[in-house]
Amino acid sequence: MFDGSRDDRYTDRTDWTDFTDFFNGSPAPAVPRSRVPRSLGRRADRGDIRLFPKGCNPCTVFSLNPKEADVIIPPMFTDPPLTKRQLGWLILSLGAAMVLTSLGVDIVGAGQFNGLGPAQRQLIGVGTLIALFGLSLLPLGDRLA
Amino acid sequence: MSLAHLPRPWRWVVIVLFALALLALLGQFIVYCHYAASLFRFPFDYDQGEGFELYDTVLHAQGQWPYRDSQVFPFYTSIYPPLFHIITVPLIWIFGPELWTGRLIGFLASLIAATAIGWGVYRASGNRVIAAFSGLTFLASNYTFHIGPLFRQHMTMVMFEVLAIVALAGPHPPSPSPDAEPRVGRGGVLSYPSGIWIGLIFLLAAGYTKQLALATALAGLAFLFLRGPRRALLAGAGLAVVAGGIFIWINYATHGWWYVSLIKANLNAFSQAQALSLYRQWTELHWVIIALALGRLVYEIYFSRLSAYAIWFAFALGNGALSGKFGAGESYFVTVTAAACVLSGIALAQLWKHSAEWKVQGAIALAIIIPLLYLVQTRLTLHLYTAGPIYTTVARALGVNSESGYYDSQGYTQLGPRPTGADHEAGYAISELAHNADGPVFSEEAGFMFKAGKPVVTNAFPQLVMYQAGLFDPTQEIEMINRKAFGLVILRAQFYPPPVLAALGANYQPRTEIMMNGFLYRILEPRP
Repeated sequence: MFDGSRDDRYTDRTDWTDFTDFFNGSPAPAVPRSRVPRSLGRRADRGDIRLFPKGCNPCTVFSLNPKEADVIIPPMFTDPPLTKRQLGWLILSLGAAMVLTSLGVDIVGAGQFNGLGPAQRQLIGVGTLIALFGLSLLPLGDRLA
Repeated sequence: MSLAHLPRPWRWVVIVLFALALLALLGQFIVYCHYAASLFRFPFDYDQGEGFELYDTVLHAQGQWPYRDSQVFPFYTSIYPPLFHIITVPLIWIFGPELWTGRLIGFLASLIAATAIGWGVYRASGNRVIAAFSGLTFLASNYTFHIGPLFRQHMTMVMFEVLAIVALAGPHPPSPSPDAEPRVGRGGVLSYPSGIWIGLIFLLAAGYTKQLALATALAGLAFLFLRGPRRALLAGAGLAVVAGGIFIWINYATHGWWYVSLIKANLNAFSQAQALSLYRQWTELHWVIIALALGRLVYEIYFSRLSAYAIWFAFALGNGALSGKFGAGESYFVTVTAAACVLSGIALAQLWKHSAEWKVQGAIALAIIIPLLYLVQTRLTLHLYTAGPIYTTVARALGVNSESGYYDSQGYTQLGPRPTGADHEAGYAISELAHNADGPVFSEEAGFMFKAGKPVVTNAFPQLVMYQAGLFDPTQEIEMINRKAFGLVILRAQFYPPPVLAALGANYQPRTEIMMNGFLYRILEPRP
């Protein structure tokens, strides 16, 4: 049920602790102090989930299903980095908001001027450029931003 | 790539070019040190406003806030945050109110910023030579040169900005790698890497050194947001709570004058033409590192991951638009220059690294182009003295002789020339006049007052911008002028509200005019 070699970025790591039984439902293994890599810190001595190598999220490394993860890991938020597409949408929204705000100023009547003023035109121009920039990021997909 | 990869004749060509580039950059650094040493010895205002910053520091040293109601005697307030002055306070306690104290802090801040730039490039690329070139290029910029050794808070802000971004970039190498993932911890904010904590503290410090650091704070948070939105939001909220708490505390302690002086008084008129002019000048002086940084920015956007440096460069580039504010100037581009130095250095160092896999001709071409680019950049920002035993020879060799004794590729600049013996004498002459005057002296520069043993009265520029914003009522000041309560008036740029200048003209008459640092100081005495 668990394939530790699925993510080949980590197969050459040497600072693993043997926790295979742990994933198969057995009680947490007693880890001899001598086998705990120094990088794992003091909490590893207590059989804590931080037996994983420093910096690794076990969910992403071993592709646990949610049920397994619930058993092993207390509920926690994940905080994945943004992708290029997500960043593109954010920037596109920002540019669109700038354009709409600039146009909306006339609708709500702020300024009471006729037509588009120079500041409005500049804001619309900058907003459009920002939106186009955001648009150009969308095809880049799920690559990390 | 190492030089060993290059064929022997080309290897020596590359070494000679790198040595020439290093020589040029070190030469500019020596000129910078010489300029700084000259300013340390000059006991009067070199740049208008230095004396007032010294007075801010003196007030802090006495446990007082400089944020006050400037509509009552002594008509003084400060429009800058306190951290730079607080850092300088120990020197004031030890050595007294001397202008060299803050100038030394500013100069050291520029050196620390340059070192951090070099460290950032080295950590991202492992290339020591280009890292050193990047730091030296920052110091060789005309803008760094002009304002580095001044008693102004700007360079200290830039130092904190650079340190913040370098610290934040620490856990996240700019190039894609498995290690580029943020560390995921279950311990909440306390489990954040130390680089993030240090970066946030430096961002806070930069903001409380000068408000202009807001763009860098946003850049830092934007970088964190890309790498982990939840963490960035928590970090941003935490930073806002701490910064806001300090803000409210100082505002309470100063009875609201902190907010008036720091925020309202800094909302000045904006000139688009001025901003565009400064953008043009900055581009003309730094186009090599700008082009490289822009290229790296585009590469990271579309072909790699965005680094903290690239985001910082983009934000700082936009922030340069604030240089259109009344009273703003070239200093508003020092931050983006620092960002350009880091990003261009990383761009070249990465190219150098990858060139090991190129054909020999390509590697040779790159190895020749890199030092040539730094040579061109150094020539663009060239500034040196043209009089003196060594300077004359060097200036003649470079074909940059100047009658004024100072050449600056930027053209005419108020900052840069070293104060002469005549400038020292002029300063002491004005101080002597102030010392012998009856009562307080109405002076547009505070430096003379410290030598004359007189209280500092008025702070011209804040008065003017606050008057323009409707925040300063000069009634009491004009009433004192009408009573001829001031024994002497010293004017330089006449940056006072028009009604104040009119009252001075009506009640005071010219006594003498003294030239100092290329400026004419008009000394007025009460009319009979």
